[in-house]
Amino acid sequence: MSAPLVSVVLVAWNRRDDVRIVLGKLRRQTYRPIEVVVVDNASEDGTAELVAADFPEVRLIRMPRNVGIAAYNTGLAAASGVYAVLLDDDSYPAPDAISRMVRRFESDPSIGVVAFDVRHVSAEDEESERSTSNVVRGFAASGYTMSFNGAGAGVRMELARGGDFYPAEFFLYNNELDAAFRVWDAGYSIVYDPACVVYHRHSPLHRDSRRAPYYYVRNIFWVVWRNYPCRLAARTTLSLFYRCFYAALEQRTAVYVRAMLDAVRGMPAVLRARRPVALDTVSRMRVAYETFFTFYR
Amino acid sequence: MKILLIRSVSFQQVDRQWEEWRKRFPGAEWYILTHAHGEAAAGRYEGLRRVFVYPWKSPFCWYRPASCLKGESFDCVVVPFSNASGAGFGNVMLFTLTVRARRRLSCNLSGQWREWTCFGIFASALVRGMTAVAAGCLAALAAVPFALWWVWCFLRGGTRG
Repeated sequence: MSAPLVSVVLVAWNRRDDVRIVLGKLRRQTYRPIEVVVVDNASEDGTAELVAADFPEVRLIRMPRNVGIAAYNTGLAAASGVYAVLLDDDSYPAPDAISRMVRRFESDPSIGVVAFDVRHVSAEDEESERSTSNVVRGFAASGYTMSFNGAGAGVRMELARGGDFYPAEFFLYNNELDAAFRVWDAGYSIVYDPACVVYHRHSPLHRDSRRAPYYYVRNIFWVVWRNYPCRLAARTTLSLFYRCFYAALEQRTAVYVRAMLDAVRGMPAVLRARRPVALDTVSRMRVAYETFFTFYR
Repeated sequence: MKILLIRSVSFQQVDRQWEEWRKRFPGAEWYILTHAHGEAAAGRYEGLRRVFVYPWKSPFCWYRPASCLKGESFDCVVVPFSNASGAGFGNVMLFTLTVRARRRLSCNLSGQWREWTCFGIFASALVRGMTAVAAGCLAALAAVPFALWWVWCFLRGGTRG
């Protein structure tokens, strides 16, 4: 039987040099067949031109504007693999990571997402990337379930072909958590496999810090309203209100209150897309709400 | 010297700072306390003696002590912060009081260290307690218009419960 096609979907935005390195590293993958889909979020630094000129084997999709994580949905809809690997524009898998991921998927049809071990590397570390571990265990073994890191994750394509794997309105952050609820509720599992390693480059262009507090907080409200059963959604919303005010007072910033107000403003549209999951799915998931209030610097 | 690192930040941040921490305490024996989902990932660090697993799903908290640390004592407990100020990590500092240790240190994202006394941790908890009362009042006030807005959205949108 031939090996299943794997689609690597990467969303790029103004990181030309990182994208060149990532695509170069993808050529070193030991697994075949793979197709690489790059969705360029209207970069202005020549990222798309670089991909077109230097990586003719890559399927390039140019978005007319920066749509954030919705670009992954576009890439996934265009992908034809049996499995997909989602990457950031500054992360790349270890040479054997995709073959390990495929073995993991093939060993258990109930696995919906393989969460990679996303490791931080600086430029000087890259030539001495640390060896991979052979320890394999699922989050479920620990008695609760988890989400995954979108900088490196394998997805069974039957979960992602609909073009709505990530909620487009989120733009950035907590989209993985929303997807995780849907994956678990659909009867699939998310397993963390430390043998599947993705290296996340320490880019001098790290852009997270200013936008993270706003998007993480606004989107956690939306995750709750989209997925939680009604009573639990109301209770968690109150608790999030408290956390917003608490963090605003403690950190002396209005960003959390602004995120909260924008979340409420967007509530009618979010409620229209509401598909509550089973109470048990929410109860078993570990959601570290407190973490979303620690990104303000 | 026995040092316990409480894994209160992402592994990506631990990756970034691990070598720097080891250099600060040459020859020290390192231990990590992490939640169950981080056990396998924590085991990869060079120079690490043992991984302890926090037996709760919820965040590190003083009234949920780690039973796995019973009978253990350390020279130092280190709490990494994912920001500069340490905001949001007060609960973890309070949790360190449940661990037998001579010193309690924090290290922020920029690599700045701070030593905490028991009094300092309690004083900080007191300030946070007062902030919590104010935040609770504001949340209660905000809940009223929100509840009306929620009902209106439901009635108008025909959403699923």
